[in-house]
Amino acid sequence: MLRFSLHCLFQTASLLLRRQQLYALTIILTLGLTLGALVATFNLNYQLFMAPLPYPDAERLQLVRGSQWQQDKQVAAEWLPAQGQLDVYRKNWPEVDSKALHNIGIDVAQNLPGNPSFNIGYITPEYLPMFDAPLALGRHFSQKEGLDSQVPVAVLSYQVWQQHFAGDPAVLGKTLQFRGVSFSVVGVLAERFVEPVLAAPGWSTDLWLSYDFNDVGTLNWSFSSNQIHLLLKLKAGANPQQLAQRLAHSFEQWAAPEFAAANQSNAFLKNSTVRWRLEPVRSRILGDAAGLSLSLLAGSLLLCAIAIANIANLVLGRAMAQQRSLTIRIALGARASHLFRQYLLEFSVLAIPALLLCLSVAEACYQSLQAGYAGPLPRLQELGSGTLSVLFAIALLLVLCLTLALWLTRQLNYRQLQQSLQQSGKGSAVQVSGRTRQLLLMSQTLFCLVTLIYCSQIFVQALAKLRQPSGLDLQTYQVALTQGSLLASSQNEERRQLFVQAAEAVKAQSNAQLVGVGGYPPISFWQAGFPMSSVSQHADQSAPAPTYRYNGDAAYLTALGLTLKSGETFSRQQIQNQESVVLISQSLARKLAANISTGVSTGVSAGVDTTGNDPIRTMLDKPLYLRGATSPSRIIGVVSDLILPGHADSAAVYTPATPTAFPHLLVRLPDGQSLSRELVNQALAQVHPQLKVFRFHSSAEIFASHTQDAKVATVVTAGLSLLALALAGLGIFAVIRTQIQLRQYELAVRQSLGARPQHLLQLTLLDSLKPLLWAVLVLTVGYSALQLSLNFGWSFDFAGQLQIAPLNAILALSTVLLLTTLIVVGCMRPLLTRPVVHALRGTTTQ
Amino acid sequence: MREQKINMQGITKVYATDEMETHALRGIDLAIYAGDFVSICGPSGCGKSTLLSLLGLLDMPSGGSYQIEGKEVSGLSLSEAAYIRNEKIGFIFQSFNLIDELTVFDNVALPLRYRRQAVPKAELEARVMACLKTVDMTHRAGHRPNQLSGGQQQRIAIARALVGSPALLLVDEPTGNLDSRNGDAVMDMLCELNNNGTTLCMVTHDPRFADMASRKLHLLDGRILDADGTPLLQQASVDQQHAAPLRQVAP
Repeated sequence: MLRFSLHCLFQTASLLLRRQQLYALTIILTLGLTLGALVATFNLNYQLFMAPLPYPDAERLQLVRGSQWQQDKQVAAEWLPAQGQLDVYRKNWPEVDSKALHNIGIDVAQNLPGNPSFNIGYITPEYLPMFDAPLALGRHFSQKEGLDSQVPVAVLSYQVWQQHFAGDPAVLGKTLQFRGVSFSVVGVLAERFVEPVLAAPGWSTDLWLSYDFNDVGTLNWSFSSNQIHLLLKLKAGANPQQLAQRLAHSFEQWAAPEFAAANQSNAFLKNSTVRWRLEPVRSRILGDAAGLSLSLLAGSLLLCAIAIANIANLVLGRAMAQQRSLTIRIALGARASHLFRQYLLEFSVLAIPALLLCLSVAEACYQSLQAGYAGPLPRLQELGSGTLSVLFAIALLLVLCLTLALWLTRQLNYRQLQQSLQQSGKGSAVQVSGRTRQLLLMSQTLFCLVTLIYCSQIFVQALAKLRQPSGLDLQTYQVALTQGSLLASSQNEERRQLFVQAAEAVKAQSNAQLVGVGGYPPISFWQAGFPMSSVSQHADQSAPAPTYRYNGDAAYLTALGLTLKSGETFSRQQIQNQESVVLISQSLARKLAANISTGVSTGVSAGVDTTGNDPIRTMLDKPLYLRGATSPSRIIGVVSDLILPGHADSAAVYTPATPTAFPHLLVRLPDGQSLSRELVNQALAQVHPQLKVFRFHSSAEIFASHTQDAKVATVVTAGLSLLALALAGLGIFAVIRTQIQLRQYELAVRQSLGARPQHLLQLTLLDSLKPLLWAVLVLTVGYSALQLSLNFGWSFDFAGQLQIAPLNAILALSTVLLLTTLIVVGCMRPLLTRPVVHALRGTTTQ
Repeated sequence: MREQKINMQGITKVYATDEMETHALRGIDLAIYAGDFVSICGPSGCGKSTLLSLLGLLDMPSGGSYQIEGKEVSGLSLSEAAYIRNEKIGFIFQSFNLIDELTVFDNVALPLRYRRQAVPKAELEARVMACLKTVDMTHRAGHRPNQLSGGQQQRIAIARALVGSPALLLVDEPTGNLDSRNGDAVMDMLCELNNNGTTLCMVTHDPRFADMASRKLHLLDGRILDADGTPLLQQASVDQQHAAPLRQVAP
């Protein structure tokens, strides 16, 4: 019996593929492509929101977080004194099973060939067991290697073990040297370990070192870093809220006076309080990925909806073309259940290759996601074509096949089919109500319009982002340096001098036009970026203006691409003496000048320019208080704006400081010359053996990596628009063809009464455009409802991108209008170019 | 001499497929004059429907000459053919071919709405109602075709065929889908129309109805047969044939 069924199955399949190749191919491609995308995005969302974390008792893992408040007003959403974290770690809490400290950094291995850079996780011994990190070799850190032990040990990731030690089992006991300290390798993690990404999206740790050797330096009450994490594993049944309250209460008792005393002279922190809270590790790992992942799911659902409407239309059209064979089957005694089984069999045959294509597409989507094409998303390492993907795809296809078979069987008018045997086959017995057809067409058009409008907006925004001049000099190189053991063994001033010498050495070695030294540039290899700081025109730091803050010498600013608009740049003396002078960007100058003219500022009202002079000039020599500073800095110049990807604002303030650690060199070479990491390392070796390059990129590379999301957005939205248009075109074609097939006899009657081609074209075109009008109406009502809900204070993440730009809407509408018109003309053409008698005799048009 | 409405000479129709050619009509000579009532009968597949399609410009001949009121129509474009069909020809089909979505009034008005020169609304209403009155269906003007019986639907189809005042009324098995009582009524109506001057050409299987025509043509294998059963090939003069019509007219 089974053999017979399988035989039937393959026979039907081969018949389908042989006789209706285009039909079969269209269904397989449509299903495979769209369901593949849906399976991938479903799996992604399942992974993010539903799948348990691959750690034991993951729901008990919490991260200690905090925020800074002044008089019940939140000043910084993420702020927790590092000293407080350390204290909490050292104390015992009855609700807590274990605690761990974690910090990330990047450093250069000084004893490995080529001095490679590594992403480092500085951890206390509890960290890896907390996540039950599996080992390939050796062990985790022991308690003897914990906080304050000063025992330098390392655990390698599987990838580093393979890449730098060729998977040698004898790696245990070998040493890695960072900043002059030799770390003994005690373990290698297994390949299957999934790292919890707590700090920066897309971060992947290469090796873990003892926490005592982190590069943050001495922790105090004024310092907070979002790269330092205090993790707690609560005891079973412990309440995180209660623990957070206990932490806050305890903090008041043990540290609040100390905190206040330490920050008395800090204008930014004085009179501040810290509010403690616990954040589940799961939500920290998820971060703000929900918006992107849900958008991807919504997009694929929309495509799938278009595809299903298409397929419904296609199978309907095919059923109409098969009316004669249906009639014969019914005459031979076939009942509805037989036809249902026949359709189900046919759909199932098509579903098998569609399933294979669907899984391939899903796998390609996983690869693309893991390659970062959709931006940094968490838990991508766990994403893959597992059982869940396969089962979900099979379930989807099964439901779809059953639904389609059932729906199609119900469209058949058996009475008319039986009667048609006695007639000359005029009319159609595959009866679909006009309302159903119009609804199909409307849904098709609506989905297409929404996709086109949505995609065109993202496309235009992404393109604008790509085409907008940034103001950056993309001909330069960004060279990030590590100072090795100098951080511990030298004074700040000594290191500053070394960094200046390093810049001079690189300039001499590379014959560069310009080598500037400064801190992290506005965009760098560090994709996560830095939060905005603020400046104020008041000594009490009131009315702060959000701004980015950078430091560097005059060459550094020039190499960035900044041009002086007014005033002067930093002098050598100002840099050497770290004088309290600043350069500000044009947009900050305008903002500050506007504050003065509107009276927001009172402290500098004497400087208000009422003569109508350029507001940029009026800011020169005005005092400005940097965040936390008690004495003002003088504005000596205004420089051009940098418009950078990921930066909400161009307001920036530049200080003449040479950093005391992790400096960046900006190198500009004469045209046609290039620079290498080795050359810079050679130059650095002349200055000090501990100075090494740990990141080396051209500015163009860095800019390209920061605009990667925009590039992906343009390609994806353009592709999605074309796909939506193609799918909608296919669906609209199928519906209109079906409509015309259903009406061909009526149209022929009209022709026989003297209707000319233009009459029939007009008739079918108007009929086909009605659903378009309905779709526009539904879209308008939906958009108005969205606007209304926004007015009521409800907010939706996607609303920002659904703001209908009239031009985009008109363009989308025109495209769909043109598409529909072309399809109507194309479908009507065979009917209009052949003798009327064929249609009257019931010969199909296609 | 009466006005010649239709003149066909040497009309052929060949249906060609990849494998074979089928000669549906093999040189038809036919003239129809104003006031004629011509019936065409013959066995299935003899070419009756093909001939009617060619007469109604629903299809184009493969060869020969076809004139309507003296104008050659065998090589017209689809649009020109539609115009002639609208102005000169009225159709009555076996299956009525009324459009279900339209009311009886709109069905009847349809040919006037396709006129090259738009018919004024008042005139259109007057002509439609006059035709409905002719077939005694004015009281059903607002109904839909599916609310009517078969006989009533065919009467509406007759009204629709008449509304454009065509030069020729082509009738395809008008009683095929009707019971005998309704069939008789429809035939009475057609005879009355003919008596009032309407030119008719009817295809029918029913010898009883075929005999009601003033001229009866027999078709076999794509040829018109003589009274003795031999094909009438290339008559020299259709006028001569019409001058002695009784050769083919049943007593």
